[in-house]
Amino acid sequence: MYWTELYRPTIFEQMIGNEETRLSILKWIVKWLPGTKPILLLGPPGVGKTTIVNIISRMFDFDLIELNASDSRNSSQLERIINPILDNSSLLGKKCLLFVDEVDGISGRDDTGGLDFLLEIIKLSSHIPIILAANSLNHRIKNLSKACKVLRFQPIPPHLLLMFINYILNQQDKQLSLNEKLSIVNLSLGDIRIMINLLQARCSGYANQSNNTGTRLDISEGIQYLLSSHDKTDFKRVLSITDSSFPDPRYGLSPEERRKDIINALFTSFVSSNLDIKNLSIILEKLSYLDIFITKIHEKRSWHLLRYMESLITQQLFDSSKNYNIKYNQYGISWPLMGKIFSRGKSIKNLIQALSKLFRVSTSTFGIMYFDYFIKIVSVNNTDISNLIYNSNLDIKYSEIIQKELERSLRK
Amino acid sequence: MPSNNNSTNVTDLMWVEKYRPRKIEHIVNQKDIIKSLKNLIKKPDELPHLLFAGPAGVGKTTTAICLSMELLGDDWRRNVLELNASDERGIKMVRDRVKEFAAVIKIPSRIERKGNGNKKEVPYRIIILDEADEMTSEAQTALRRIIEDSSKTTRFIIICNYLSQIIEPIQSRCAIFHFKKLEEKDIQEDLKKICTNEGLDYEEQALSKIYSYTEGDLRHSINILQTASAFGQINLSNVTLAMGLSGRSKVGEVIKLAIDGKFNDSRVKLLELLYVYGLSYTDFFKYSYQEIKNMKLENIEEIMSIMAEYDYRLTVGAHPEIQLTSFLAQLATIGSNIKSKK
Repeated sequence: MYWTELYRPTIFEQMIGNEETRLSILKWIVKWLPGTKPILLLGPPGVGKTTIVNIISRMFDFDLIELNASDSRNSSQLERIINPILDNSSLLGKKCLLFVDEVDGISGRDDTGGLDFLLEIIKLSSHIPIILAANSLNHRIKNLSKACKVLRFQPIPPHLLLMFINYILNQQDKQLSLNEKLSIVNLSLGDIRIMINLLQARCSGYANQSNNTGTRLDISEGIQYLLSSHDKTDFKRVLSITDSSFPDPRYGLSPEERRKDIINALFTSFVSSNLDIKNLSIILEKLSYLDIFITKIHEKRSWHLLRYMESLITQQLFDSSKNYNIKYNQYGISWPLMGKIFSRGKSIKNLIQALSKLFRVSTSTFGIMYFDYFIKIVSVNNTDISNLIYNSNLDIKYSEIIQKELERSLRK
Repeated sequence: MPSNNNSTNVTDLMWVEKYRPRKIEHIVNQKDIIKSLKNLIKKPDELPHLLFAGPAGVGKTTTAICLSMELLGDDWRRNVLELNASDERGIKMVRDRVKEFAAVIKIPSRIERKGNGNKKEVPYRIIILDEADEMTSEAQTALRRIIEDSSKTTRFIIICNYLSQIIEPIQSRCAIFHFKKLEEKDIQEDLKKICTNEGLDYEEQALSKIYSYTEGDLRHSINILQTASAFGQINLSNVTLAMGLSGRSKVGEVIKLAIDGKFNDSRVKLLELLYVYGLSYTDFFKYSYQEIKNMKLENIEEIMSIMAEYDYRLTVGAHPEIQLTSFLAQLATIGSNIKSKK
């Protein structure tokens, strides 16, 4: 079992940090009556929002109905799940507690109407206790937050993290030096989950290996550390021991090489952070400049210029990033969104390629100048799609993809 | 008009293909070019390599196909290689596909001549290289040698939007034809012909709207016309609906979202265009330019300057996503108002 699951608290007293907030939640559930405002738990990841909800639902014997970002949350989906429980009886005859996690992740586009539906539920019906959770208040959930009592969670303070590390080490019968423990505390930025993951990695031999050969940090760890350092020398030192490279991605990279591409890793981390657009645009401009510099090195094969890269990156990025808690992220947008784009892209990419040949245009031109027209035209022509595909000498598997796209266009 | 015909294929369904001219004399208004090409093919052996330059949707590819059909006769398909350089822009494409095809000696048609003595022998094979200006200069240099080495067996028809992006040595080995932008009356005439053929009524205004949106791109115009007819009558509102489906409008939405400060939404939309619709990075700027031009922004010059900078950076950088994202972020910080909403 992952340590993050193994050491997930099961009772109220095992949790650390945010004592007052947790007490307020307890009071809220105890005093809850029909008509009581729902609560919105607001705070960074890994501080115990989901855990506390699980714990209180067990404590008070609720049937917990949980919806998180992995569920599709458009209005009809939500209605299907929520409407039956609104009269507060679950299948098991227990009282229900509705928990909607990651409400800030409800997409305006793919989860059409989801937020409006939630708001309506919250305003109209107060027959069941509802708890919402979010990482931050964005403009989309502003109205939602007004209808709720907002309870804030803070990152877990270092001394509590250290205590927890000692507790786990004790349980596991393992030992680490104080320096190692502090570096874990430092890297985790108050996120218990990250802390436990780092600890598990260190304890499974990762530390020994790196101690002998002069530490090399994995890119994720490196960037995490880099972006939280408060001192320029530190920033550059971490940069120099991070296992990364400056490739030219135009000639194709393996997934592993792509992951180690430090310019890309910095890009995805910054762009997925909550930096305000002013700062972000400055940082992106600098990354754009660094990209050009590296490309020139590759084109002119002037490898000696690579010796300046660490200084350049430090000089360009340290000042703009030092005061923000930016975390490493492998992808520029949240994985659920990216996953949707990738999977749809994967299914229609080959189709677009095949069709573009028939129409004698590039795939880009077909995608932009034909594809949606084509779908519309097929949809009104009552054409039998499998016939159409068969007659065009195309692989029959494309008819299913076209069918899917047709349905998609009709939904809009 | 719905064709329930069981033998319909994709290219019959789309008017753009259905009405693609099969003979060069049917090409819409490129009279000088047609005249001169007709003279050239009278002596097929003396035909030089050809280079067609001009904007999108004016008939470059169609002319190349018609020429091939006339020169090579019924089995033209076997002796023509059609490549789109924007999908395979590197030197590998030239080495693998072009070189291999050009190296094969033309397929003798003696077998087919059995019992049919008067069938002409194919004079050479033809390689049609579309969007050649998207090729890297390395690939173009490699191509130059192949053109020289294979001129006994192969003719090239090289097609591009911008002649300046084709290296000099290739230009000097080809006869160059400049295709001109189509005028409104050319487009209207052709669209009306299609309407008559399909038995459809149309509003004149709707046709002009199509022209002003596509700026003389006949291919795009026909696609919009057909999509409008899929929505119902060919009138202004259906044409507008059809235009909204175009990928170009989607690029416009990316720009608008960024300018409105909705940076993250604009990024997601951009990624969708890149990874679902296969939009190329260079095409992103091409369509952005057309869209921004039509937006009537109050600080358009400021926005164009940012775009110029990043369009350039895209060509000298290696992380296109960083360049495009940074472009959107710069737009988001300066913002804009639309001058007069029309």
